[in-house]
Amino acid sequence: MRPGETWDADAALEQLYAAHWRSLVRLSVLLLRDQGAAEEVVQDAFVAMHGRWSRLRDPDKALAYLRQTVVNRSRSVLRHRGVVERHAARRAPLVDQSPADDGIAGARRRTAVLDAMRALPDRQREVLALRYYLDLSEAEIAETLGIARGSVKAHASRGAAALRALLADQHAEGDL
Amino acid sequence: MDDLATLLNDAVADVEPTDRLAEIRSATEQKPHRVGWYAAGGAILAVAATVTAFTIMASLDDENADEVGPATPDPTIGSDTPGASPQAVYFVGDTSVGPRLFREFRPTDDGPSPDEALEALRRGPWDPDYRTFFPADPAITGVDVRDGVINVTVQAWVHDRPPDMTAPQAELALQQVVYSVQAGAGEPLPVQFRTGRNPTDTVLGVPTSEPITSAPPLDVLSLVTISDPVESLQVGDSFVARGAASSFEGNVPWELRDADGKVVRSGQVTAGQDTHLVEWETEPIDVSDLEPGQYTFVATTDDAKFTDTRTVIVL
Repeated sequence: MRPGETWDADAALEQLYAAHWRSLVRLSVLLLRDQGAAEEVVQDAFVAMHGRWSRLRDPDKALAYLRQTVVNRSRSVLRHRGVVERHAARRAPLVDQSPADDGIAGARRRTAVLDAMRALPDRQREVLALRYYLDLSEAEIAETLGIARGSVKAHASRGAAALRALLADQHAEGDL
Repeated sequence: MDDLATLLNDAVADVEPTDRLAEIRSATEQKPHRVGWYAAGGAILAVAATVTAFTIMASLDDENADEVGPATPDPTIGSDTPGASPQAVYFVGDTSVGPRLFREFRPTDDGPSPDEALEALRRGPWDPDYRTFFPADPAITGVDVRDGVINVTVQAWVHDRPPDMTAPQAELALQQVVYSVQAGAGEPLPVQFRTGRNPTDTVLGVPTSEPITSAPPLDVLSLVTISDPVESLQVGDSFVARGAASSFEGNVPWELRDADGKVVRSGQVTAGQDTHLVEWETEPIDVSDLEPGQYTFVATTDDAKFTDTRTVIVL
């Protein structure tokens, strides 16, 4: 059976869930740094995909739609959260907000990477996640984000440089 | 190159999501209900009205002044917005002559585009006094510009006007989309609504076989809108207010009110004549001697028929 030809929305949902649930949640964690929120975002994306199946009708298109929805909704969550966090920071400016250090190098490195991703502009963060985590081509990223391929290239190179610089800074601080 | 792939994969390697297939299944079992979104819109409308009432209450009773409404703006945009031009987007607010469109701005990475406009419509208004008549999320599935026409692809279920929506509300709903995507395109191109590849004959019961154009601004826009400050802008010593208005002799009176509703600053700017909306801008408004807290900036037309407000947080 060729996938797509005989799938109905429910079958498509199950197949795509089995194949991509984990990687899409991880993608959203790279964008959001928050697993609970990431699961919500991806859950909503699957529900939305199911509702559109009659016009997608193709697992590749459905996966592209899922990716796009996950990126867009992650960005919305982040913008909303940014406001909340900034308000919170304004209210308690003197609280020491240095992250808890669990002493495990691996966990610290992961946190550092996620922190650095969060510090990037939205587009750079999204392009890096799609390129280096999902391994998408420039054309696929351009389509997912609705931007030109030239912009993808520019965001990727600026983002990679910025991420490396941020990680180098963190590394230097950690060595003090 | 490769090291970034390794880093990013490693950063989420320990993320093991919980199984949510059952929740997703139970959400997809419910059949979409044609008027469901508008019922939800009605609820949002009720919330917005409550917030308006609350804002009035809060201005009378500052014990509640710290509570915040449902708005989710980014208060960092404003005077120090870096880079690209912002995207204008239109939402519905109330005026003495009925619902009208009000303009908000969103920061962008690459400047305005029809996609940015759509994204802003989908996310909804920042100002809790505004709402949306068009269910852009999820009803609009895409937008593009071809041959001098903006194509807006909508889902088939917005074909008819829901029973709880009036014809003027439906017209305004479409104008909300038209004005927003035109702002994204950077010019007032005609807008063709489509389902799939084909033009749809109606959207919300409004004829759309042919591309539609923007209605005259004085018929659909609020005759005064505030662009800056954005909702909940945090300000230090001073801020500049900007917007657009069409007012008798161009007069736009403005006030800054504290949480008790007391006017702590006021003035008037001139926007130009009243045949179309003209941009206005105040001198810097000095707030350095005001107590930190929440204030309301109010701009009105000369006849006080149209008003727009923004919450300002003085640090």
